[in-house]
Parts: sequence; structure tokens; C-alpha cells
Amino acid sequence: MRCHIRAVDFHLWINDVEILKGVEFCAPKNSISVIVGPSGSGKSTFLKSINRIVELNANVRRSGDILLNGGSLFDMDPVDVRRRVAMVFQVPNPFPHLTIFENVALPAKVNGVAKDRGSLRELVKWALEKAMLWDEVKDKLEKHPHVLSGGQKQRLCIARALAMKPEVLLLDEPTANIDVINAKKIEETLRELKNEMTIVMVTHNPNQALRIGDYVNVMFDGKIIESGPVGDIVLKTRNELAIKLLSEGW
Amino acid sequence: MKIRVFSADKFVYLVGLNLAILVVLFALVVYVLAVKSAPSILSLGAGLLGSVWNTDEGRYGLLAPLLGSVLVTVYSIPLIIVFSIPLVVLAEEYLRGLAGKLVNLVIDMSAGLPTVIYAYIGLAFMSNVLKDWLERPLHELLGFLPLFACRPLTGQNLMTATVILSISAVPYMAALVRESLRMIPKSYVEASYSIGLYKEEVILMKLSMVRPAIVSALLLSSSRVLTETTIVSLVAGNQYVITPCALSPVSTIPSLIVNNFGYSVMYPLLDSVLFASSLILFVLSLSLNAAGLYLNKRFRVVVSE
Amino acid sequence: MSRRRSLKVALVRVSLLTSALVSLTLILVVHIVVVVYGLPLALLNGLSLLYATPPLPNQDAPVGGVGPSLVGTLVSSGIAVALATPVALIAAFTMVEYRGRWFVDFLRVVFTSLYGLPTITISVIVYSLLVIPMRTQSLLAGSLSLALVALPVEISYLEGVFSSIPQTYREAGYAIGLTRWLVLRRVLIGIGKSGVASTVALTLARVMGETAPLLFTIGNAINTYPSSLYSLLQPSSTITTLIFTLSSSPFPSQFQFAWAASLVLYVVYTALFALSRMVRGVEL
Repeated sequence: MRCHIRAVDFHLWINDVEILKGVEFCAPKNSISVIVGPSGSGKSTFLKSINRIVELNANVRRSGDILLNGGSLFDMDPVDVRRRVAMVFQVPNPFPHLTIFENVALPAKVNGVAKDRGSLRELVKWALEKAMLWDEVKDKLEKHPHVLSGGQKQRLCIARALAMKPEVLLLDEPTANIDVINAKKIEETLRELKNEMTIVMVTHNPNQALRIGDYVNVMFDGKIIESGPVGDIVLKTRNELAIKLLSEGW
Repeated sequence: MKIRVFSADKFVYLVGLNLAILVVLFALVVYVLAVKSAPSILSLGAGLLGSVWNTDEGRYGLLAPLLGSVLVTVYSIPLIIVFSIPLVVLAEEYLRGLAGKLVNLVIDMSAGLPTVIYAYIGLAFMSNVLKDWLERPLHELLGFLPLFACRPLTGQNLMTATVILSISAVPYMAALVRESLRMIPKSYVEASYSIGLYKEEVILMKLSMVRPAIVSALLLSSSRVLTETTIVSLVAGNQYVITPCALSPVSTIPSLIVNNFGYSVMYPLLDSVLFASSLILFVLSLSLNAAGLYLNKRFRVVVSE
Repeated sequence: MSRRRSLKVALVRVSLLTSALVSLTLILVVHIVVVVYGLPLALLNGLSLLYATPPLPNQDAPVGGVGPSLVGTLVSSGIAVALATPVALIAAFTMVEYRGRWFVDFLRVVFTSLYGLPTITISVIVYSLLVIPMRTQSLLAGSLSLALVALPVEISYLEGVFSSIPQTYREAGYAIGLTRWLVLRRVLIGIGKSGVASTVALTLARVMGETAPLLFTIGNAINTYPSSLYSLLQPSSTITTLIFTLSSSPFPSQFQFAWAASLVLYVVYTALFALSRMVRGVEL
């Protein structure tokens, strides 16, 4: 089983506080790996370490490694990492000062994925279709995101992430602030997308985790305490804490 | 939701009194300006905007100082933009820790520094430096352009005034831009990095997000430059001329008022004219301020959503 | 990364940094020059710089002091802030408390107009209102001019301080039966204590550095000390008007002495600025 993303004994300190205490993680290719855990366990921090956003904070130290296709992330140019590993945030944040079209086009333009107007338009359409948003916005591409609902904004953010044609898609509790209908749409989208990329998703909702995840990773206090394919975890795990977290939710 | 205080609240009287004081002050200001500038406006009419200033003959054309004030403000705008925005970017994006804090401290301190100090340094120190190192060379090299066609005899001219005014305005503008940059929610910054932008590209992105705030800050800074008195009085040269040349001494409205107020009892309409010119200044400054404050408010609303 | 993109990024970085460094240098030059040129004169005069009178035209050396003007500065600024602060406090509270009512919008119009009033215009207005009837320029007229300058500035700062206090505290205050006045005093000013103190210090610093409002109102008494309450009605001067006068002087001793006066003003300003910073940081 090839790990597309692999964390090896990864520790992270922010302002001298140890947040990640030796994370061992594997996200197999073309699958949906879900990370569940109580708040404060370090899930978001870990995710932001994978696309190296966490380093933007002032006082960050790390030890251990995270590998992308076997090569250390930290040997690469961070911008290159972020192009290959895209992220969707918990609270939808499409750029307010750009139009809907520009929001999706920008990453493609900047990273050279599409050069001329024609291919840019095609790419934007493709990304919006994949995010299941095209029909709803195709006639308002020059409007600004504030005309969209929360759920639509989040799908726009997914389209924006897809426009880079990334290898890996990270999602940080993407449906936490979204209504049920949009959440279902997003879950559908992710199920389709896993054929083209590897997906790592953080969620606080154990039902969602079991529903769409292929692999489940339980995180607690900065470490992954249990991980494995969804079916196995539910049936076979002996880890009491993991059982508790998965069944009771939090 | 309003909290209604049901008991009789004497505080309203205090609020009312306070309001009355402010209204009275405002009314006095308007009254004095209107009454004192009326005579000259009524009797000279459009002559006030003429280009001749001859107190003996009673001809008071304000065109020269008005032009001087406007030009000095307009020319300082590009200088202010070029020097303040990179400074803020340096302090907020490139410098970490102590160095960044120090630069911000210098900015804040300089923003409130008494302008008379800038004015005196401008006169006693910088006017000569600028004359020799900037203005004479400009005249020698580019003298064929009408902008640099006149020979700067002293360092007291439109260009020096523009430079000193810009230096004094840069910290203020920098502080305003810095506050608007800090208001950008962290989530947008993270999103910008996460789509694979380089630091400089993220900076450009942030700047385009705060563009209305930058315009607003520029309007407010221009208002300050327009009404600045001590710097122009000491450094602009105070010659009543209308010329396209930037190396020539010029007159501005504040310096006009300062220089002529002493004579206002001797010449009939003079003091009314000076009031009229300060009214013009008030209207210009008020417009710039109102526009700036309005844009700033709109920006805050956009950023908070 | 493409060549064109890396070129663009490098270009942006180089131009930003160069421009920033030039800008920083120009600003620092001002600070450095004040100190470097003023210090020798300060050392030359020693402490008498603070209490003696400025050099006379016939002197060759810039020996003297800024005494009378220093007192003028302190008194006029003190009176200005003392007058403006209560008005500003209530105005700021009104804006925050009664938001949405008609008179708040009116208040805001008045405030914006006063804020946009050029200082030179304030000077001629106070001249008309006070100096002419009194038939003399005076410390009082100067103080009132400064008060007019201080007022909008303070209202603006204080509104910021008060509106940053979460509404729930005001509501809690009412809920325990406080009257509006007490809510202002105990809740807003109580929680915002350091903000209010810092505002006062900043306004003082700002007002002490003003020149234009005083030019026609305070007079030019650079050699006489204000000695009694009656001196309020007599001409006086401030360090700022002193510098202005000295810099227009054709006599070298006076012209040079302006460096010393500038240094004194610089030190006073810096002290107040530092004070406002320290006060703001302290949790009172």
C-alpha cells in the first residue's frame, strides 16, 4: 500500500508548546483518509503542516518528517508543495475582492496550469463542474462571492483548490459550517474526486467519517492513536479511547 | 437591542448640554467664516480667483496661492505612495520581531512629530542639500522641460516644499495603511498562500484587498498636506508667481495668510480676503476628509464580512 | 517556477525593499538631525536652556533658553486638553451609546466638520472671536485655539476606545441598575482606563506640537514669563511659535538657536509619546 502522504514521527512546537507529539500517518493514494478527534487534538495543525501553512506563524519548530510520494516535503520549495497539496478551509474564504471567475482562475493562472484565456475558461468550468457548482453560478461568473450562500462559497473554495490540479486535497472540517443539503453535495463531490487525487479530511463528525472515509485515523492529544480501513476500525479495534471517540462523538 | 433605563435619567441633560456646546462652536465657526469672508466675495466676486495680487490697488487674486497649494499637494501624492507603502510592507512582512517593532515605533513617533520641526530642518538643513543634490542637477540635465526650466536660487521652492511635506506625511499614511493591512482576516492570507503564491504575490494580493483603504488614507493625508502651514511658510519661498516650473518659489494659501495677516488692518478688504481664502481651504480639506472617512467606513464593512 | 514569474517576484521584492529603505532613511534623518544639531547647543547652554530667555539679536552666540515659551506650551496645552477632554468623553459616549438616533448623525456631521477644519483657519476664527474684542493676543486665546484642535482628535480616539469595549459590559452595567452616567464612569471609563489615559497623553503630545492655531492668537512674547492668573489675558508664546519666529529671524544667533528649541520640543514630544505607549500597555 503506497502512502501518498506519510508522516513519520512528526513533532511540532508552536511558541514552545508541543502541539503534535509524534504523528504517524499514512494517506494511501486515491482514497479518502479521514482524521477524527476532539477539538484541541491537533488535527487542523497537522493538516496545515502538510501544506506548510503552519510555518507562517512566528515561532514554529518541528522534528520528524512528512513525505510526499516518498520525498520529504521540507526539502521542496514550499510554494511548490502548496501547488501540489491544495487546501479547503473550515470557514469558507473566497476572496471577496475578486469575481467568482477570478477566484477559480487565479491559482491556475499563477501556477501556470492554464496559460491563455481559452484554456483558463475551460479549466474554470471544469473545476466548478467538479465542485458541483457550475449550474448555479454559470450566469454570474463576474459577480463577487458575497452573492453566494455559505454552502456555495465553500463549493467555490473547493473549485478554487481544484483549479490547481493538485495531487492531494486537504479539507479542514469542510462541512462544519454548512447546511445539510450543501454538505451532502460536498460529500458526493469528494467521493468522485478521490479517483483523481488523494483526499485527507478532518472532521469532528464521526458519522461523516464512517460514511465517506476509506481510512480512518483517530487523533488524540497530538498523536494518532488508531488508524486503519473503515471497516476494520469499526469491527476490530481494541483501543478503548478510539472506540469511545468514534461512537460517542464529541 | 436598546436597553431602556426606566428611571428618569439626568444624564440626558448632560448629553444635551454637550451637544449644545458642540453645536454652538460649530455655529460660531460657520458664522465667523461666512460673515468675515462675505465682504470680499461680494465686492470682488470672481476677481478673487484672478492672478494679480496688488494690495495697494485692492486687487486680490488668489489664483497663485491656490495653484501653489494644489500643486504641492498633487505632486506630493506619488511621493507619499512610493515611500509609505513599501515602508509598511517592510515592517509588517519582511521584518520579524524587534526590528519590525522598532520600525513601527519610528513610524508612529514620526506621524505625530510637530511639523514645525520638519519645517525648520527643511529650511536650515534640507533646503540646501536638496538644492545642490537634486534641484540644480535636475535643472542642468532636464532644463529643457518646462517643469525644470527655472534656475533654483535658493532651496526654497515648490519642489523642496513637496519633498519635506511628503516626508512629514509618509509616517501618517504608513500608519493608516498598516492598520488596514492588519484588518485582513488571517483566513484570506492563509488561503492566498495555500494556492501557491509567493510571498511577494501574497503581498500584492493583500494590497489589492485594501485598495479602498489606501485611497482613503491618501485622501486624508492629502488633506493634511493641503492645510499644512509651517512647512510651506518656511520652505516654499513665498513668491507670488504662477509658473509651470517646479523649482521656483511659490505661494500657498496658508503661507499667504501667515504673511499677510499682519497687514490686514492697513488695507481695506485684505482681512476679508484672507478669511475667504481660509474658507476655501476649509471647503477643500473638508471634502477630502469626508471622502476619506466615507471610504474608510465602507472598507471596514467589506473586510468584516 | 517559470522564468517570467520568478523575474516578477524578484523585481517586486527589490523595488519594495529599496523604496522602503530610502523612505526609512529619510525619516530617520529628521530624527538624527534634530538630535545631532541640537545637542551641542543644549550642552552649551546646560540647564539654563530650560529657564533662560532666547538670545537677543545682537548676541553672536546662540546662548539662551526657552523658558517662557516652555511655560506657555505647558499652560496652553494643559488648558486645551482640560477643556476638551470632558466634552470629548461625553461626545464619544453619546456616539457609542445612542447609536442610530437622529442626533448622533448630527453629532457626527459636526464632528467631521470640526475635524476637517484647517488649523490656520481655526487661528483666524479665534482671532476674530477673541483677540479682536480683547484687543490683544493672549495665552487664553491660544489655549482656546488649541482646545478647538484637540476636540475632534480626542473625540475620534475616544470613540475608538469606547466602541472596542464589548457591548455586553454596558448591558451588564444597566442590568445591575447603574444610571447612564455611572455606566460611563464606571464601566466604559473603568474598562477603558488605559485607553482614555493614553488618549489624553497622545492629545497632549499632538497639541503641544501645533503651531498654526497659535500664530495669530497667542502673540509673540518670547521673553516674558506668564506670572499670574492675569497673564492668561496677556500675550505669550509656545516653543512651536518660538521656533517659527526664530527661523524667520535674519540674525544668526537666533536662527541657530532654533536648533536648541527644536531639541527641547522633540524631547518633550518623545516623553509624552513614550508615556502614552506605557500607559496603554499597562492593565490598570
